[in-house]
Amino acid sequence: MNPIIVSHVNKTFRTKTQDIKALQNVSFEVEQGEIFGLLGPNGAGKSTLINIMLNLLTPTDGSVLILGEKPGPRVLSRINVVAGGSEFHWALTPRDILSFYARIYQVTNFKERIAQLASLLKIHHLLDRKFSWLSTGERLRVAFAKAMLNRPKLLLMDEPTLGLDPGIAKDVRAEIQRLNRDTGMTILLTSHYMHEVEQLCNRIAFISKGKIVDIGEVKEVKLKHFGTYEITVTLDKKPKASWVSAHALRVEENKIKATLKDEESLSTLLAMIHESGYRINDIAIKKPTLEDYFIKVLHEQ
Amino acid sequence: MKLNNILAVVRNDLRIIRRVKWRTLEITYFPLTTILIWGLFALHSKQYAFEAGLIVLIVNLFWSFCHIAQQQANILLMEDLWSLSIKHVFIAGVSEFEYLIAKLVTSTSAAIVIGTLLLFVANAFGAPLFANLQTVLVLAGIALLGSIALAIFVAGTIMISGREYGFLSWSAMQLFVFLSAPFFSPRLFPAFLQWASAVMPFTNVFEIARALATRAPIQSAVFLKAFVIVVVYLLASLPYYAWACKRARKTGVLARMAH
Repeated sequence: MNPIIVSHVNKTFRTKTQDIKALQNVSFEVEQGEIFGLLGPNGAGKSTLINIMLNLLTPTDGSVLILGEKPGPRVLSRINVVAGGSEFHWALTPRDILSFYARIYQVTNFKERIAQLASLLKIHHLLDRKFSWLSTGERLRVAFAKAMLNRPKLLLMDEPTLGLDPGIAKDVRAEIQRLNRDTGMTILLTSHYMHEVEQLCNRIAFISKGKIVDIGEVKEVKLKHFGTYEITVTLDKKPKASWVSAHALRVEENKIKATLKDEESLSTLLAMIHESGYRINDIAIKKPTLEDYFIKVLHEQ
Repeated sequence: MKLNNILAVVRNDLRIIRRVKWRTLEITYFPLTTILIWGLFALHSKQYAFEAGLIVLIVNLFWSFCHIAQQQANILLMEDLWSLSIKHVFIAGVSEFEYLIAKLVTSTSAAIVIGTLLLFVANAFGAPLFANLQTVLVLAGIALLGSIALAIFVAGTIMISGREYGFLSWSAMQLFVFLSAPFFSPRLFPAFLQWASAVMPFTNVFEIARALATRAPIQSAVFLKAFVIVVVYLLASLPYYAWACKRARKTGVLARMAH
């Protein structure tokens, strides 16, 4: 059974003036051992969905299964969460915080485990400093250590690199990849940084206005909306007009511009240029990025 | 219900109280100065109406005791809300009842420690408390149950309404004490308030406290009435809290409180 199964989930918030449909018939599954990205603009319903998974919110209808169980105290002790901007009590030290959660998770030899995580996440020198004195990056590393305490089977990461400087964000991404690779941990990630999602995720779901509008492998969903590569080939000389019209190409001076469907069309074009005796000076290929995809889908919505 | 979770939350709360100096000060300073003020007043009133002074002193002792037991439980909840750490506790698999029990264990322990200190101070000012220790202990037990019930009602209301209603933590007791007629007979209230006063959790507690001061005989029926009322409060508070948590999950208040 897949670690996350979301089936036909609806969530409506009733206010005095209107009903707000935060989620509408949302269904998807996250497979064992994958890093799954949940994308969408602010207010799309990502946090609502994560809150349902964490038992902080109940769906209006539909069901969510986490590790085969309904969200509740029992299953929550087997998973964990890292959220950007995580807060703990300002007067406690990371050692206090980690000891507290280690007791809740019933971690055996927890002092050893804390030392191990502190060393891994380079927070050993911060263990006895008050939480309020820590920087954003240090706080996140404490939140990471807390999330690793119970060796979770599933990790939910809600914008984990929010507010971090690029260096630390890079380390965090490397850590996520390492965890997934070394422990086979399933990870559900939400992020507004598209390059991060592109780098980390096997599959994504795009959620907008409470509905899933796309789901699949990153490359697959991008191609569904763009389906093309923009290529510009600079030749050593301007090609002959007859050759250009014979191959239905667009030409500007010595540059050939083409819109291609896939990698195969790309090799066909390059082979054709080569066979015609032209020398290629430069090739520029513009592949659609996840950010292009995000903006396009948002526009369409 | 996991005892391990309750003990972990209690231990964490005690650590916070130890680390935050003003919390320790808050728990001891206000009740202690209150008893000192009214103890001195009782001494001063010896030349006028000593029994009136003792009524004020003994009622204040029970008032402070109830206030610590209720307020500390709710303040500990608010502290988790203010520090935004409540989310981590709930998503670590601590159930709402384990959480509530832990808060009540901490606040009750604080109330018992400070209450004992106040008992010694009030006795030193002439309140006949050690002479009636059995009555005092039974009364304290009843007052404690009432305070716990009130703390559960307040916690439930904060769960339903959100952190903006945190002020109930330190203000709810005032209304209940007022309606419980602390220093006077409920007969002084207008008729409709007398009805309300009859079902308040502390009305009978204060009546017994006043009788202790004046050395008047106390009927066991009053004890029974006091006990039955607080038990009814307690029994009503538990489903209310369960319903409040369910509603907080439905309306999104719990999720919003956690951010």
